[in-house]
Amino acid sequence: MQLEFALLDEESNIQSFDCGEDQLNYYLTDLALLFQRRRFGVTIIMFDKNDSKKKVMGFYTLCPASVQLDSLPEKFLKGPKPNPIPAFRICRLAIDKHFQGKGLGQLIFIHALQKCLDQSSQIGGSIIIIDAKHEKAKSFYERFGFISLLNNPLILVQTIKYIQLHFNS
Amino acid sequence: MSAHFMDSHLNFRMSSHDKKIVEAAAKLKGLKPNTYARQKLLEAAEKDITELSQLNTLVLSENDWKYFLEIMEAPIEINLNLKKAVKDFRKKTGHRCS
Repeated sequence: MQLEFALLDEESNIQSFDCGEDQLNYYLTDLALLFQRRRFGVTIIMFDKNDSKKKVMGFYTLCPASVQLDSLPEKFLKGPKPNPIPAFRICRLAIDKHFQGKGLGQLIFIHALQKCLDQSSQIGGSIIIIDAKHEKAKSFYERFGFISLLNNPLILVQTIKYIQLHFNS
Repeated sequence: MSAHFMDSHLNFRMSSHDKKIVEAAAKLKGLKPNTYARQKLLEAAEKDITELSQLNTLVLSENDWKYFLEIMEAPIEINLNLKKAVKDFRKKTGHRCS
C-alpha cells in the first residue's frame, strides 16, 4: 500500500465511502466540496496510490478558526495576546469501515497536524482545535496530548508549539 | 441570483394555501412566483451552508479560559504516543515536516 494525500476534488472517488456514521458520510459526499469551494476549509483525502480506482480510505477537513476572548474579563489576559487568537480546526476526520483498525486514523491525523504546522509557519496560527464526534474519538485525540475543554469535553485543544516540539524531536 | 445556466429541475408539491402565500409575497417584490421561489430557496441554502463556517470561532467560558491559559503556558512534556505516531507517519509515507 502506497498512501497518497490530496485535496478533495470532483474526480475523487467518494461515493462509496462509508465510515459507519451517516452524518460524516453525508458530509463527505454532499457538503465537503461546497464547503471547500467557498474557502471555508479544505478537505484532504487519503487513498492507495496503487489502487486503480483510488477509492478514498479516509479524509479530514481543516478550517481556519479562532479562539474568541471578547467576552472574557481583562484579568484573565496574562500579557499581550492577539484577540481573537488565530487557530486551526480539524472539524471532521474519518476512515472508511473497510480500512479501520489498521492505524490509518493515526496516519491521517498526523498528516492534519503537519498541515497545521506548515500553515502556521506561513500565515500564523497558534492553536489547534479538534471537534470529537463522541467519547471514543475524544480518547483517540487525548492519547496524543490533546486536552478537552471543561465545559465542552468534545472540543479538544493543543498549541502549535506543543505539536512542533514533537515533530522536531 | 446565480449566474449559472438554468439547466436542471427541482420538483416539489405544496398546498394551495402555501402557494398563495408565495404568490402574494412574489407580487409584493414584483417577481414571478417561480423566480421568487428560486431566489429565496437559494438564499436559504447558501445561509445554511455558510452557517457551517461560523462554527469556527471558539468562545470560551471563564472556567475554560483559565484552563486554556494553563494549557498554553504549561511546560511541554513529551507525549510518547505522539512522538511515535510522527515517526511512523514519516516511515510509512515518506513525508517530512517543513
